Amino acid sequence: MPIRVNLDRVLLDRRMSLTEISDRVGITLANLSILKTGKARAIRFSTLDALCRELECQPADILKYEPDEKILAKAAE
Amino acid sequence: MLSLSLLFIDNSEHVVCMNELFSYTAPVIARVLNVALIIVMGLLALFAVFLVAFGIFMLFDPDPSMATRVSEGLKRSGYNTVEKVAPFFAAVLALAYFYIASVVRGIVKTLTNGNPFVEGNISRLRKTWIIVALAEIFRIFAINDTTLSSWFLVFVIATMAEVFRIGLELKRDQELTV
Repeated sequence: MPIRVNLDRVLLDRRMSLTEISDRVGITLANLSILKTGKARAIRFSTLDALCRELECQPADILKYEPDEKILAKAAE
Repeated sequence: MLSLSLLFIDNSEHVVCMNELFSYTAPVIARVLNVALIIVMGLLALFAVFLVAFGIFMLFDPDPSMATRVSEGLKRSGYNTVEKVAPFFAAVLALAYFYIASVVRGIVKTLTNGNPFVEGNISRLRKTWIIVALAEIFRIFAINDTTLSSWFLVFVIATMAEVFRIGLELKRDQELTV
């Protein structure tokens, strides 16, 4: 998946633990670790909203698009 | 009866917490189905045991009047079969349907758990339609008879198995949405 979740880096910058952010945004620790480990298949706008509000960041700080080289090469052909 | 109980499969499915937002209560229809299936399974098991006993009795019965009466009855019903083994054929069919009932009960159990979209249910549905189809093929060869509705059922259940596969995919997506 070319979308990467950079949540752990943002958390590191803010010196915030996963438990703390979990308490503040009201998302279970289990769901947050699904997001952090990149296992999530989708993210709700409400989740993104809460994370950006509490971390005082933009969605782009959390989500990164990293194109797959193989797919890009295929598309160029 | 001991051999019949071996046909029960351990249907314990690990319950993945489907949704933390609401507590799940099993629908009434699932509980009714569970009870109905237990009754059906009991009747089918009794029927199979009776048929096997009757078949053995007929094999060794020196008095041919019983076999004659059975064959006349079968012919009148339009069935063309070897009357001596007819009870065994019927017993095989009863056992097949007993097995189907136990498989369907596995599906009902997952329904009462609140999580019917599991890998196991797809294979259960597949097992169900394959056995219904095999039973019908057996009927064609054994008693030279088949019913259209059973074949219809085969296609319906096969379709449902595929629908369940999509349902499982959707549930996985839903679980991994944060």
